[in-house]
Amino acid sequence: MMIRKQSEEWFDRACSVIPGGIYGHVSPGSSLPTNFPFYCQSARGASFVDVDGNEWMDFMCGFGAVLHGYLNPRIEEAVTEQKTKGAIFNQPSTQMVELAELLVERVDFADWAVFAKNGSDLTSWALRVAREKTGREYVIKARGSYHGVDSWCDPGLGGRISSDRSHILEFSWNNLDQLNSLISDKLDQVAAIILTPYHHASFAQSELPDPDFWNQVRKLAHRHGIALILDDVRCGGRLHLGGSHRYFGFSPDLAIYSKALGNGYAISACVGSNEYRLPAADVFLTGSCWNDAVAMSAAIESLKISADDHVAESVLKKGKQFCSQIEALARSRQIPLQMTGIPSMPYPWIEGDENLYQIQALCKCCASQGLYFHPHHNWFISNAISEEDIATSLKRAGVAFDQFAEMSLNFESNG
Amino acid sequence: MSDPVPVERLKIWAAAQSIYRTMEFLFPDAPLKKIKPSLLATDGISFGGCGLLFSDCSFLRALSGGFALPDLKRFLCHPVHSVECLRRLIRVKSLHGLCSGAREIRALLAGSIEAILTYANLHPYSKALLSVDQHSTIRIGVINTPVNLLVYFDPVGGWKLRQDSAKEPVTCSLEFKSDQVARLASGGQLDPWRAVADGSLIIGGQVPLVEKFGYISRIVQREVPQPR
Repeated sequence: MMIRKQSEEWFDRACSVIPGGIYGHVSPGSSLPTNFPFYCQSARGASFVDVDGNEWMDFMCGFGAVLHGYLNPRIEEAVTEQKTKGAIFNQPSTQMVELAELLVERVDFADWAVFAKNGSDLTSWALRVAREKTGREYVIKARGSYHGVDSWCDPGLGGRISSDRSHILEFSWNNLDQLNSLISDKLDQVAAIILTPYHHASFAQSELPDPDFWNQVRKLAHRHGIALILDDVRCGGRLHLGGSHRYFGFSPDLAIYSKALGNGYAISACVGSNEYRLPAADVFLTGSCWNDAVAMSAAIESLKISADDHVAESVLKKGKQFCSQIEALARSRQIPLQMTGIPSMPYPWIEGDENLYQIQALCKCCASQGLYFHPHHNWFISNAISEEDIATSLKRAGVAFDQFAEMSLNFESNG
Repeated sequence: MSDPVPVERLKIWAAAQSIYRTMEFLFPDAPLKKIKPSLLATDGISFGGCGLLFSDCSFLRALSGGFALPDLKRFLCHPVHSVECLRRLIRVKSLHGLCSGAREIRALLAGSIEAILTYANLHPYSKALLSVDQHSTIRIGVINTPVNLLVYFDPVGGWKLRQDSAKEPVTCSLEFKSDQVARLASGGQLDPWRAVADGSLIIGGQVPLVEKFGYISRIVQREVPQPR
């Protein structure tokens, strides 16, 4: 059992001054509240140290915000250099232009780019651009998908009014018939279809697109004059250097990136084709610190590293190696663990465990070995993870899986 | 499914249902028909059909600890039944002050859950939240005690509650670490986020369903007065 004294004390203090203590996707109730730490002290490479001094092998990468490893030296150097000049000015910095140029060069369909701080800032803005372009109101999304914290899409329950989602339609991932009929029902009224590259919902196994899914979605959107928006916030940089649409072989009209873009420095980007340039200019976009030159410097360096080190291929390869080995490790103990989705961001699923009790128990055992394996969210493979780190993690996982197998046996024999 | 109740009278109905369910668990052998609440068409709530009748206003006042008179004419026409009913209502009220023992804790929990289920069945937003979860079950209990309750959906009666053997698999579960924590939760005095974090409240299974249930419970806490 890990020491948690500091975590608990800080959480106690937090409860007095912060609603719920810790909120959002990192709130204790969303994961393993009595096993995971509440607060982090430091992180480097592919591991982090919590406030009690426990060291963890990390498989969440700041919930995807870090791709090249914590405190990547190249990024930190770029950031340090920019910090000597300043972060926020009255005017944007030239980094903004450089970053836009880099993205337009990197993303094949992109003719322009804009920037904000979070994925949510720009998924919501992109819908407005689509509405401006088409003069239509409805938006289609996949049921259960996450696109941010705004009222049209947030997974929370409070603060809603009925009109928040009155123009949002949903279909089941991969169900083209449903998508077709939504479009037919609201003929010439749908402004946008917004989708993630594949379905990576929380609390559910990931689903890849059927072989013809993207081709059909693209055709449908084109035929009906609907903007196809790719929410590449989570996957961006982890599937393909040029954007996740390249991995699946299609072309969206607009795409949003964040998370790995700044490798931990808050930045998001939306890119689009020329067709959407004028509407984009007409939809107001700004934020107090959105022209942050430090985060933009981090993003420029992050994109350069992605190209120099072939990061997407690298994390896919590392992920594949890790996933196949951890599955084999589980199989050898009769645990039917499957790593679903894409290997660079796998979601753990135990066959027959629809209610998640097994995966929760398994991840608790892993936590006792210092492995940060989340039971309800897809994991992220850091490019900083070494072969040795993977071997260490698998060794610890073996011990945890033994504990879990023993626990399951005891449970079965005791009813 | 329950009869439609006007939204503005839902809190009265939920409170009455909660009391009834508490009594059911507290006095399992008593004839319950005599205390079953029914909502009068425009104003008033009666317990047991005849005898004890309160106006909506009086009932709310009584729950909040204020002085409230039942309808005197009906009270005097059925004095025995009314007094018996009143006696049980007072017993339920006293439970919220201090209680110990599995039967009392179970009764208190059942009463609080019943108010939540009344909202799950009749409050438009709460009903919509759970509309996709009708094949789900929730176990609520106190660790190492016989207190185990199961929330399930009955296509005829909507969301319901029953005592559970804790054997069958459930969609999600909420377990209180002790009687004391369960009592605080029943009285709406437990900070659920803190309790989850410090292990006083253990949640398991499909957490999104726990979150929905918790959210409805907070609506109920805000709107439905608890006996004081």
